[in-house]
Amino acid sequence: MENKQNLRINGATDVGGGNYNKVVVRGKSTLSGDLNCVEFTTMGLSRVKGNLETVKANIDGKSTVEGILKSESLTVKGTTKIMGSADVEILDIAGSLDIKDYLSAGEIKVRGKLEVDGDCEADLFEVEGQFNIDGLLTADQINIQLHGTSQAKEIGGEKIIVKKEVTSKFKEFVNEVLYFFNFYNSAGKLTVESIEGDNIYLESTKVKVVRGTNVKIGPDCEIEMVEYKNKYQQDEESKVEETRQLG
Amino acid sequence: MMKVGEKLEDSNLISKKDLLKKTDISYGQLYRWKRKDLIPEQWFIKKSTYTGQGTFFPKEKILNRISWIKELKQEHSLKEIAAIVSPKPADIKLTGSELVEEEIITEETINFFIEQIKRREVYNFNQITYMFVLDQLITAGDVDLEQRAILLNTMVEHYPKFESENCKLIFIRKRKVMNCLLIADTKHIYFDKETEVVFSMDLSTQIEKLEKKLS
Repeated sequence: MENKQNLRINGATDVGGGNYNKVVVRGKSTLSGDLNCVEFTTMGLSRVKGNLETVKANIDGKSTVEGILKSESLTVKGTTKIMGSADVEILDIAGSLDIKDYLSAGEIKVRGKLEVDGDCEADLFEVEGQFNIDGLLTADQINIQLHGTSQAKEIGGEKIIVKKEVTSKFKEFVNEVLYFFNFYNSAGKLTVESIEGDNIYLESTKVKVVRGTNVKIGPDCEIEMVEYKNKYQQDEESKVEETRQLG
Repeated sequence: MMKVGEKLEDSNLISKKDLLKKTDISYGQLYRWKRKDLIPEQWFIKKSTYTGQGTFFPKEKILNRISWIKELKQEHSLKEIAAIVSPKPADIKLTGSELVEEEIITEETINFFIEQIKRREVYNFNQITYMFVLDQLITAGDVDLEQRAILLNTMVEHYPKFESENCKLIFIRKRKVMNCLLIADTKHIYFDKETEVVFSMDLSTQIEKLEKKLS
């Protein structure tokens, strides 16, 4: 059995890639090859010039992975950029994560910002923050509490809940004044081309088509078409151009 | 046998909406099965319709796949089903005698493979596929020795390049010259008037048949 070493980097040190047990970067480091380790922690600046495969990844500073990332858990408290795809069991974002290809995960929790240039798939997708997904967002359970504007090209899943931004009375007042003067601050909105699911509840969403078994449209929505199978409810304030019940 | 110049594509597509209605599955299920690789990404075909962008599927393939999944779901987990329906069961290795005993490949075809290519201790999934396809063709009609040899050699040389992409095997003939093509499923192909399409075979369908036999 290989006895893997730990790698601790303090200060500015560049190293090669390799196989390690725990890798901790406290200073600034470039790892110039694929990195395979049990734990990867960055508390400073790190760059992996290759693929990163690990069990537990913890980014509390800034990290760039030029290849793909595979990890059982990834916690991002600072900024992380992955040039390839990411495969993570449990993803927890309290900072900012930018993925240039697709993201495949078990559980995704976003309390900061998530950007995915490809598709994003998970079993559970929970956001209390902001996301920008260029492809399809799909998960069994999608729970979105909007903060600022978010978007996805398409959304598909089983249970989809989108709730508008929770603001203070003052912020709401300011928004109303701005609206009055035609400066509408469209903060706290989700923009999507299509949303498909079994049970859908939407607030503050701008979407072309919604298709589902049971669909409930809450306040502040702008929708071109809703196609539902069983139940349909719509908030008066929301704009829904066309609804259709499918047999 | 196909007519000269006939389009080789799945002219039979079904819309996502019609599919859900016909198979009585929900959006949640469809998306989940897609994520778990039970339904290949390539089967989700985006097309512009008068109502905007719609998603369509190859009709026969998707209907067969969904009924298969529903059947397997009763006894297997989604992960297990993915292993059964996925086009690359890399771990399958069987000896010549096992293949004949289990009635997966005919002895005649194995001998032909040995003669044309090489005798092997165990045959991997790709090699079994080539032999299976040959068997299917022989059963379907007249395939002379020359055609069999061309087919086997073409598959051995080029099929691995397709990796997980579905493809079609096509035999064409013009003035007694036979050609064999392997082409990715999603591509259209047309021929000149004098070229006759001797046969066209969708390999993913054959692979599914083979997987069913092996499971």
